[in-house]
Amino acid sequence: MFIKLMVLILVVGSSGVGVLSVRQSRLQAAHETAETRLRIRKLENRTSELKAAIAERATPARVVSALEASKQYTPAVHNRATLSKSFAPISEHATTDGQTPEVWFLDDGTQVLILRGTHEQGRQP
Amino acid sequence: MSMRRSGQGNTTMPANTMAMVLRVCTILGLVVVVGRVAQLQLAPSEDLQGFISARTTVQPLPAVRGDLLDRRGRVLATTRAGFRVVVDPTTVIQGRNTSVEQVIVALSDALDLPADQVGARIMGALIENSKRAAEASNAQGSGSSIASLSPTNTTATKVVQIRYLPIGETITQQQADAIQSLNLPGVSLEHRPERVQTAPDIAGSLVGKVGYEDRSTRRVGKIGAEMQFQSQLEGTDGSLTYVRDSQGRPLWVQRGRWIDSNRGSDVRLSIDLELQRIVHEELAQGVERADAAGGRAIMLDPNTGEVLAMVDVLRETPDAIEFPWDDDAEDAERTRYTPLDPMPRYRLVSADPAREMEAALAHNRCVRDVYEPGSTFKPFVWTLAKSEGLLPDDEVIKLETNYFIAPDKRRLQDVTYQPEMTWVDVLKYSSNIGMSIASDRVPQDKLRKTVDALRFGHKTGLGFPGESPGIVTPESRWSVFTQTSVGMGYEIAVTPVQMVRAFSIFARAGDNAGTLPEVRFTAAGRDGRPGLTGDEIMVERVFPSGVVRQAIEPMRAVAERMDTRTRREDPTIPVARYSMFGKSGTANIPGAAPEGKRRPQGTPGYFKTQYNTSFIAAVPAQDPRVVILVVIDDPGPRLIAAKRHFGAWSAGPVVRRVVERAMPYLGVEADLSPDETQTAMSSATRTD
Repeated sequence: MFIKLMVLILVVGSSGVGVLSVRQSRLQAAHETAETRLRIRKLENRTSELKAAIAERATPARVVSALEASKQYTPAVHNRATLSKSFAPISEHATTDGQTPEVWFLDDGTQVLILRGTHEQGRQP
Repeated sequence: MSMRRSGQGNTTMPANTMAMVLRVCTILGLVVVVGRVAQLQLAPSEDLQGFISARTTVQPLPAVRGDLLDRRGRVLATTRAGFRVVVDPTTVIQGRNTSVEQVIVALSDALDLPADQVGARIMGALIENSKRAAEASNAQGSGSSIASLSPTNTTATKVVQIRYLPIGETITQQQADAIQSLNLPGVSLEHRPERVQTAPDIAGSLVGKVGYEDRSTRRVGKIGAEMQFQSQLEGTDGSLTYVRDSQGRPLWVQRGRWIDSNRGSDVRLSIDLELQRIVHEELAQGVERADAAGGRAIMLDPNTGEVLAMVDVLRETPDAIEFPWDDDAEDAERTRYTPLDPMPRYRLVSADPAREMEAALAHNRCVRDVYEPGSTFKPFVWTLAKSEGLLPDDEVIKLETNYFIAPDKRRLQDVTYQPEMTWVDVLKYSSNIGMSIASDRVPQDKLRKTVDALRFGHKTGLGFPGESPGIVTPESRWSVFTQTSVGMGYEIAVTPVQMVRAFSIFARAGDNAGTLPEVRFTAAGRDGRPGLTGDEIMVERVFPSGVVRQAIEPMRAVAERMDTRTRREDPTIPVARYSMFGKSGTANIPGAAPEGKRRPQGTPGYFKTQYNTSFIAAVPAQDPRVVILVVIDDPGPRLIAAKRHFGAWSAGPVVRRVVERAMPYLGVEADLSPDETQTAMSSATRTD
């Protein structure tokens, strides 16, 4: 009888412990899920801050003024540019597929070479 | 034995009964306990209900608003996560380990604000709370004490105390984390997303503004595209329900009680930020050069109806004086206008105080304010008359003098006198006399119906709040005078967006020439609507395509003359590398009273020395990619004295400058070589 009672107590006790541990695991999982979600939200907030900052700094006006400030900016197409009548090939700029660059001149003598479709082909002019 | 058995039998019976009673009681007790537990769980009493619900907190998870993008995907408006520090002064003073002074110093460090500023705010609220508590205590006949500041104090609960005290401006996530780690008593963080515009100075009024809805914390678009696309931009709010302990600390989130928010959709507008910048720069310079009170410009893709740029500029004119309008109130005194000689420059373009406050709040004059189009309206009447067969190709109009009495007995004069004109010349030289004859030949109902078919007098459907439908004389009042006036672009008031849409009928490709595009503010084909390629787009034919093309040649000559004359006068205007056809217009500003005002008796119908001048063009002439309209409002007296205020002089060069910058950006090949430009200039000089 005593043995039966002990077995019963042990079975009931271990079942209780099992149920409690499952419950604890569930709470733990819920807690971690909540913490992960909070972390995601914080990262999303940070991303939104960075996105807004990039967008503010990447408007056409800001890009042009930044390039002009660097003094390395010559617009490929400019109000002062006139189309050269001669499309003389310039060998050092000729592309591998034999495409001839279009040559433009600015009033100040700056030579501008225009290669069509370079972006699509992934090449730098 | 038997006695004992009997005795035992006598004594065991009550024991069994007692055991049975005990069992029954125990079972009943357990049933009661289980029942009570079930009742507590399922249907607790009202008192308990309040206690149970107070143990959970529902925290809203606001949805992030979608972004507004330009047609190339550049961000025009986005939402930046932000927080605001909120202090509960009644809790601050209850801090066990932290004094009020320590909270003030910690907050001023974290927020980078002067300690005296933060201190003044918190201490001010504490003093105010104390004062309110004292007043309440006095009212109840008892003295006040610092204990009465406690929110749990029964006396204090009857007092409305300051418990919500925002401190400083919006802070970032990092700053919020830093403040949270300080664990200051009575200090909490409020989620406060911030709507950021990337180019408010050039596109602010188009993008608009977001604000709080009445009596709620919901943020909605209040003006501009933010308002127009509210349903797409707003997402779905979520919520987080968690159980907390007696100290209010979160214990756990119950399953299924975290409902995530759904971000709103991005909306891609038809506006191109770079084109907007180009148009804005050139228009602002053009307004400055013309000493004008303002300017408006719109660039439209005639084939898809997309508005590519829309700019409205206002400029202060210190030499202008207020016109003596009467108040519109019924009991206001009616005055009589006394003409001044010389006529001063009146302030006829209304100021926009909201714009000065914030660009996003600007009154968008491109869709809300009307103007009389003047000669830019002539191509429509000319094409109508031509399509009705009323303007024979071989007909020549001969004028011995530059004066003509119109059918309505009005005396007309042309700016450029031509003794002999074909109908092509009438449009080319913008002859008022010729257009008077043409409009007289068109039946009145035909002209009125064509004006209606061009959708003047109707809203364009662009969706901007406050859009004006324009003003068209109703059928009942349409007279011979109206017929002549409309032929010259008077007695009809249009918005720039209506005008640029109507002019697109000359610029649309192929068989679509002569049809009116559906004007739109979202990028075509990007929101499930495939633009003109879709069957659901209804287009209404106004003129036959063949006749429309006949109007292009004289308008091309108009543009060439404009280029030649303006470049001769101002060599800084870029050499034309793109052909265009267009029309200039100059109309006196009508003497219409602004809102809330009334015209004094004797006010002239038009201000004789103040104008709206405009130039509308389609570029390139062969296969137009864009239609551009520039309106210069009230050019300065110096230009008028020099007769340089006309549309071709003031608005035309702005169009040319925009074209020469915008076309390369759009990847359009130049179709005029320098030689061609030179030839065009020489021929135009000869015809001058």
